[in-house]
Amino acid sequence: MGEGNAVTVADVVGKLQLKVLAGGERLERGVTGVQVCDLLSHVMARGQAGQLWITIQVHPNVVAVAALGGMAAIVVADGLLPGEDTINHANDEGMPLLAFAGSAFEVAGRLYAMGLR
Amino acid sequence: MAREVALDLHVHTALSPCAAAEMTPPAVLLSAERLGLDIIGIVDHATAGNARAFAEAAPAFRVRVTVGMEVEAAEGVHLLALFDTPEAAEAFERILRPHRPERANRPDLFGDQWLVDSLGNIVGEEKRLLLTAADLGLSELTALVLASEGLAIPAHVDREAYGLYSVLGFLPRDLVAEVLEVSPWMTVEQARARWPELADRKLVRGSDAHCLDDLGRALTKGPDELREAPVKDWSRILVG
Repeated sequence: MGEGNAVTVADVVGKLQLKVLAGGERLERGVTGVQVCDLLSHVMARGQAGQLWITIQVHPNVVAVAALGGMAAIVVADGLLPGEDTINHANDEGMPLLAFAGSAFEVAGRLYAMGLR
Repeated sequence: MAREVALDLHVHTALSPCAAAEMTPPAVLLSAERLGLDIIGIVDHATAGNARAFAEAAPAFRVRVTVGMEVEAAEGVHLLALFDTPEAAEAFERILRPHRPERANRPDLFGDQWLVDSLGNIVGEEKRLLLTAADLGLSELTALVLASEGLAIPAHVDREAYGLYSVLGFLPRDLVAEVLEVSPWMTVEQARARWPELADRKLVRGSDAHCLDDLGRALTKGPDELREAPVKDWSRILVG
């Protein structure tokens, strides 16, 4: 874990063995909560700063939506891989874009077990 | 002033599981003609299976029939793909085929998928469920439609389900589609007021008709030139 009780994106990457696809220089960000959603309009309305966002959407728009809400990182679940557009956009925005082979359920469950609420 | 034509580019047929069996060529074309529609777009979910029947029936009516399909992109956004001929639409369906799951329809859950002839007789049933998404994203699908000399129109962008704004939040930077569709539940003016970024796009309003009574509930007016011009030129000609 990072300093004190705060969980960082780097902690999550290490614990869940996530593949870092973009934004690798911003992994020090603190994670304050988790959002699991695939409707971007919903995340635009409800996403909160510091949240880790678990989704199966790999469209480039996810990057702007995450940046808009000041979210900590995007985790793409189910082994889906974003295209070059999305990866480039995430690098431009300094938004960590992470990939996980397992389901969104598994990511969420493991984050819960790490103490995130 | 030059004559205007009335278009409705979003009409389902008896082949779409969610549409009524009454949506056959003679019934749809007669209704369209009576409603003053000059051009209609026949778009079933993910197939052009009834395109040929509609194109064959069309010459008996004062309605130009363009054909294609409503495709669900990987993101969960619906896209209308329209072509000038059934051959072009069928060729596009062959491109799309390997990109959709092989899953059988359950008519009890989703509805019947009837193939019909130009007289409206049922001649077969599509066994594969048509309400499934392609594994191609919106921009890939759009590029494929344009490469096939078609017209790609993100469908009912204002709708909560399968609409671009609900699913993707805002217009993707790389969206090359110049024409977008607004559902019957919103006017073009309302759409422009709500999403100012649509200023440089053409908007059409389609009925998304699933039964005969739905026809005419939304339409678009355009220049007379649309009557003859190939669909690939429509994004230039449309004024909305």
